[in-house]
Amino acid sequence: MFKLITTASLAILMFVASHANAALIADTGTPNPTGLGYLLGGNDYFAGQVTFSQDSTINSIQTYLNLDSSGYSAPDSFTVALYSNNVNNTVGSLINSFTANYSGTEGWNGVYNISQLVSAGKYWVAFEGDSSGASYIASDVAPNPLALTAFNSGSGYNNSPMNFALQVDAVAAVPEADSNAMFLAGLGLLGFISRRRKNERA
Amino acid sequence: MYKKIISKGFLLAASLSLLAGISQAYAADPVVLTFSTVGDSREDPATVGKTAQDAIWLQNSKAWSRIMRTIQTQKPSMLFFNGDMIMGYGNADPALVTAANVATSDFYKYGQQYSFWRGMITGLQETGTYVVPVPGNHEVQSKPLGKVSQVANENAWRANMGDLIIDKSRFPFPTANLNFSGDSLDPNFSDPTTPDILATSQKQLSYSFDVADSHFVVINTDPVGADGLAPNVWLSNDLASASSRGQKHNFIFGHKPAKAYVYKTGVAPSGMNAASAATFWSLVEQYKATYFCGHEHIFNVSKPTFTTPATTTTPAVTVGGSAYQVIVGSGGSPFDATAADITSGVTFNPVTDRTYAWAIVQVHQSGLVDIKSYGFSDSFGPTSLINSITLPQ
Repeated sequence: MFKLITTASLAILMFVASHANAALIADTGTPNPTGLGYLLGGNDYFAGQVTFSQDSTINSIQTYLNLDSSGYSAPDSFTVALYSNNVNNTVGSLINSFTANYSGTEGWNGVYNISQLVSAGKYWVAFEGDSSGASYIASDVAPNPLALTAFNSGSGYNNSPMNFALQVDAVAAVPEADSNAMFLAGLGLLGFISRRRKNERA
Repeated sequence: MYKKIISKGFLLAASLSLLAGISQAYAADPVVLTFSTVGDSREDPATVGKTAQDAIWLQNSKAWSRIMRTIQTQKPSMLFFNGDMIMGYGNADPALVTAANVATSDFYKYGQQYSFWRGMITGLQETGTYVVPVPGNHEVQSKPLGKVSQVANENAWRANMGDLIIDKSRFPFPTANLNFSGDSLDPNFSDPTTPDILATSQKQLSYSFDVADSHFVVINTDPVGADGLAPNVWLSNDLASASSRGQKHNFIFGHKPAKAYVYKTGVAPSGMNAASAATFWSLVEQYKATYFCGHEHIFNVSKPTFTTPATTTTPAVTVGGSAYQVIVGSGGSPFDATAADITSGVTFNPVTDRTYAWAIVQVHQSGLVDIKSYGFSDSFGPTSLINSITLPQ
């Protein structure tokens, strides 16, 4: 019985190890806040292009924010949205949106455990304000700026160089070929050990 | 079992205290009053190239409407517009209108331009931001008559803006001290004791009011007969009166800068008369006021200083260096700095010298005042917070 549990645990661990390769798909690094930056409010949104090299499940999306609005009363929220990518690398159509609750302090703020499935490809991650809520300042001068960014000031998204901070954390939805090979090899090894012990007992 | 209960209880307590801490941080010093300010949205017929609409109504609709859209979401209670909302600069005397020239007369054009601007601000007015107008040189002066203020133009101002100064039924502060009746707050040209050399009533051109413990003063920096002069005697009396009422904050709005921002070497300063400006600034400093203005189509924040020349009996005296002057003449009018100035790097603040900018002022319960300036580039890029200062209590 004990051996069965040990074997099953090993198998589960190997499976998890081969599948839970969570990674920061996009990471601009943490900015050094100057107190200035991009306005995120009811009329001012911004977005960045993110590439997924394989089918993935997005866990979290966050940007580095500070409260700017005067009429703030906790809790306040903003929207994190996922858009498709047009062939000309502009913001496409809305795929899904999530409500992010502002943490109350300057720093990384966003949505977590969203389990958003995406196929491999390019997407746009957007931060959008609420006209009835607070506004925020997204700290600029991130160490590793995104290659493609866009803003929307009431007339749709327009590509424009920006330097806001972004982190997108995701897990590969389908294991890679080498992961599968390792997993199968592990299973084979377990089977071999089990069979050998059985033979020894016999 | 007990351990489990204790640890879970501790976790709950920690979470609750964290939440309470966050709430307290926001409740600690709430904002009690917010207002915004910008000026100069008029287009220039010589350079207008935006749309056919703007060529007729002489307004930079694209920049000015975007500024207003964002201000609307920032929810200030008031927007002070620091002059030059119209091209004007003519002579709006109705006596000059004839049957033959009615459609081309300045009187007609002033009405057309004022009407368009008034229409543009209606959305703000109807969503809780009261627009307070400040006269500029393009409203009151005539260029063909030597850039001199005209009685007819002051009358046109009152005819087109007077209802806003102040419509008590629309003003968002029902308990505000709006002492506008009659000419009681005029610079009072008829008073022989006043050295403000004014030839006309300044009713609805220079005025003041209180909201809570903040005192707001609007001055006409180009009154008839005293172009480029601030009404310093009236202002001195007004600020002294506000101080005696216990008003804690003084915010002054005018069109011309007290001290021009010379954005590149060799630019001729364009602001108030220098002698008048020095006196004006000594009042600003004495009453710990902040001055917001336009006229220069540029954004700039400074702490101006003025030096009075030495005489045989007195040494040179420098005043200033403490109070802020915020120039937000960047509401859409053609920028003073050219695109070539920026690319060639000759301006002193290339990042903001061609930015459509406005300021939002937040008065906190503690008495702290935040002045935040926002803007977007001449290529209509993203909106950014471009400057932030905090005034001491």
